[in-house]
Amino acid sequence: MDAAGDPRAFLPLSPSGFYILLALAAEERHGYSIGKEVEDATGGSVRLGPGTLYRLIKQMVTDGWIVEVDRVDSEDPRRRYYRLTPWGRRIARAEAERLADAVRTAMDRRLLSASALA
Amino acid sequence: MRFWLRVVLLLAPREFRDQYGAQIDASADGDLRASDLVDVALTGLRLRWEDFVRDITYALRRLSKAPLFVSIVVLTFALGIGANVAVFSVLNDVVLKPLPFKDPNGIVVLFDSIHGGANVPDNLSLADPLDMRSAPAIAATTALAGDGGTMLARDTPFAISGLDVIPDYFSMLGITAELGRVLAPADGDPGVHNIVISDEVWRAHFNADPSVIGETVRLNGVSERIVGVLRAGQPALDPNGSLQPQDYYAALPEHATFADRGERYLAGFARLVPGASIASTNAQLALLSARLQKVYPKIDHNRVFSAVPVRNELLGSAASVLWIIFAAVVGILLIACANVGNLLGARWSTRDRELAVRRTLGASSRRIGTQLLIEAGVLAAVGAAAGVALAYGALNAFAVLFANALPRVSTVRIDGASLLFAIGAVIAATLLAGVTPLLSLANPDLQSVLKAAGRGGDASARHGLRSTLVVLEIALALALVVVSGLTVRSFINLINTPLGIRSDGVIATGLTMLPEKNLGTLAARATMQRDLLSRLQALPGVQTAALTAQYPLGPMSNRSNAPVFGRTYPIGSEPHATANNVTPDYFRALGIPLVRGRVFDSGDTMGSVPVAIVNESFAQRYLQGMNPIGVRILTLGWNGTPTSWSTIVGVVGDERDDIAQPPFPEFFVPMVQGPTAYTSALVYAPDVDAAVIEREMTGAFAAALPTVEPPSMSTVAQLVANHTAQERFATILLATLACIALALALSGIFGVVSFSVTQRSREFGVRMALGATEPAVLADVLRRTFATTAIGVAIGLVIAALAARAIASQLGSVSPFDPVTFGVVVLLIFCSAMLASLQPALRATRVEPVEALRYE
Repeated sequence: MDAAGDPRAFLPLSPSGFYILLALAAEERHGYSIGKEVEDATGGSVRLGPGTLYRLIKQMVTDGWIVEVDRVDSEDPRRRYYRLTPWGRRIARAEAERLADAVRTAMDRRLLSASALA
Repeated sequence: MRFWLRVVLLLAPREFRDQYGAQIDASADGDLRASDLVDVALTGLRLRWEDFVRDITYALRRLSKAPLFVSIVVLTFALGIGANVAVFSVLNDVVLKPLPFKDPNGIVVLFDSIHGGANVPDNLSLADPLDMRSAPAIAATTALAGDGGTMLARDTPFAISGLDVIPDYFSMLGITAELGRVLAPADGDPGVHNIVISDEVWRAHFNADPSVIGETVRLNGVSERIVGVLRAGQPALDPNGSLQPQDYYAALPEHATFADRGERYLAGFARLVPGASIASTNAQLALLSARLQKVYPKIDHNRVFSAVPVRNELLGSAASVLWIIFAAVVGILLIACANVGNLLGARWSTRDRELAVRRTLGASSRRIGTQLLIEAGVLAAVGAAAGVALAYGALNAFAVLFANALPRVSTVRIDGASLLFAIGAVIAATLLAGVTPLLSLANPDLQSVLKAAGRGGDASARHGLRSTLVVLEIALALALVVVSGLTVRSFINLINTPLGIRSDGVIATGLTMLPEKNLGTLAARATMQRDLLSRLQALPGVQTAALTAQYPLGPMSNRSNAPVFGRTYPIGSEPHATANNVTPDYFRALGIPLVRGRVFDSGDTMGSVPVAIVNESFAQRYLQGMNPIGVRILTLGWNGTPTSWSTIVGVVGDERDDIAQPPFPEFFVPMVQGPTAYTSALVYAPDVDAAVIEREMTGAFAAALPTVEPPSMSTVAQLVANHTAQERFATILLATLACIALALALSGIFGVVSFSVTQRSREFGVRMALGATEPAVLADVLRRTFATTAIGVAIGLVIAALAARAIASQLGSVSPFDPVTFGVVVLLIFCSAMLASLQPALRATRVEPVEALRYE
């Protein structure tokens, strides 16, 4: 199911979904750390409750955007690690490009100055 | 916090919990907030809902591919659930809902029975309810009698129904006025003529004019002042339990004269003090009766008061009939569920392969089970929707067809309770129909299923489950048909009980009250009656016409003591009889045979020797071993007529005034010697259309009594039909239900035998290839059906016997173990089971060995 078709068909992503993909873009993480990472990355403005977090994880696993990694956490054996699939990465990239387009348009219309990106 | 997290996690589907529960649990190690609990809870519900929608979509998609299967199952459920919803709605509105009065559990019906002997419950005299107030258990009493006639208001006469009540009626039942006031004890004082009217009359005849309070109207010629208007739809507590609203209420006096003690024409009701039991009330009433017997030895001789909860008295017979019918429809739903269970089992087993594949792909058994149950649930829900529509239509027809059959049936409708019941029925039906086939799938030996499915095999254990369902179906159907059969037989016996009167060609009128100016003197009443009678006799086509104080099966039943001159009676055996005042042709009009002596004739006049006629029951019970002719009995006057020692001049055949009771002793006096203020007319006109004669009779009444609204008319056949309406209603319904049960059971047998023949076609092919003859194969299939049926019949007989014993008291003269009914039903079940399996059995004999073996 991965690499099938145009990732743009799945856009726009929900903000929570996008942040999860972002959290996994750099490294594989366990669920709890995904939640933490999202919270840190947004300065606490986006906080995923455990229900929402794992519902989205389950959905992304089913859809083949992320996979569970065969890795045992030494601190807490209950933790399970997830990693982006290439297909998930393409979708995340497509969403990022979509947002970038939107930002460029906003700058063209003078809604946003270039310094805001700095 | 962790505890609550685990609790709310239970809301989520098990699959999600299994996969992520531990990780979510681990997150409680960090900073878990209350909002996270809400998040987990909402997520759980959301996932469940998504599963549910997915399963329903899946079920709908799969079902849309099997329209025939769906139609059969939906139709089966629609019948089963629809019948249940309809009967439940009737049961709920007629029996289960409280009576529409204040604290109805504290209300009792009062009786005045003749002690010993027949112990027949009798009406009360005006004195009785007033005397009973001294019993400590009784908080209030009232008594009432049906009334009615013509009201003249604002220069327009109209027919009107009413009740005469002891005014405590209103406070006792919590009935209040919407305008003005209800009646008070002082309204019953001599010379006071106050009435209250219904909201309906107020709107129809007074234009809802508020100034109606204080207005004077003429009621049967008497001036009455309107003091109040009751609330819209105010039900009346009437003796026959119809609870129909009445047009007006007038007050009976609160004081009884000595003469009032002998006139027993009232239905009595009381409210018990809170906490008083029926038993203690009856004990107190017995003491009171004993005291009254000493004070009034003549009139209250042997009389015993008693109280019965109003619910039992008003709704008792309807309740037992409706519970029987309800049990029958529940049985039908069970049979329907067994049928559907078999169909589902057959359908699902042909999907064994698909299910096994899905299971190997990781779907849990639980998930697959849920999906199959949801398929059953969708079918039940669609069936129920159709069933509720059916029930809605049935109830509308019901209210029209059986208006007289049940108390308060006109108010029956499908309401919230009915819909809740329907939802309950859907859940029950889903589980009942779905569980058995699920059980047969629950123990999947994947290997064998995958292997066998390739060859169209059927595990024999599964066949066993299906046979079990058919056995249960046959047992239930047998029990249902037997019990219905017994009940129907007893009702048919009852309906066919000879009443002792002619019903064809006879028209009877309701009771008409003579106008005021004729009430005063008996001579004036007699003149008025003679005029009315001669007009009726002169109508074209009328062979016989008569007047009577009580029309056949009518509401009035005036019973009194009728001691024989010169005799003394031991306690409990003083003659007690129904009294009626009739014109000479009463007996000819109703076809009541003269057994001895003569009927009244023109020689019996107001001034001649008082005479009486008794019926055979009277002669047999009270005048045994003597020639009744010439014996003198004391005929108590009523309705203002004289009391006299009357000489018996004739004996006539018995007539019944209640179909469920044996004929009661009765005596008649000539109307001319005791002209009552109320009369009913009887006309025998066999060759004229009833509608025509009724119109002519109305004209005769209008001509003879111009100030009185002509009474209602109906054929005696119609009166009899109304009288037996409850039995006829139950008969029709139970017979229909028995047919449905039988049809469902047979279609179940047909389905299972068909299915098993298909499954075994290979076996038959092999056997025929090996030399088995067609009759042998046929016999094999039929033998199996016979064995299954026999087990079902055996179980069914036990259920039927238990059920029949439980309703034995309802069956009257029919024995609960009536061998004819049991025998006929057993035979019927066997024959129809064989018939249902004949077609598939013949199909088995036509299996081509080569065709069957090709699948090997």
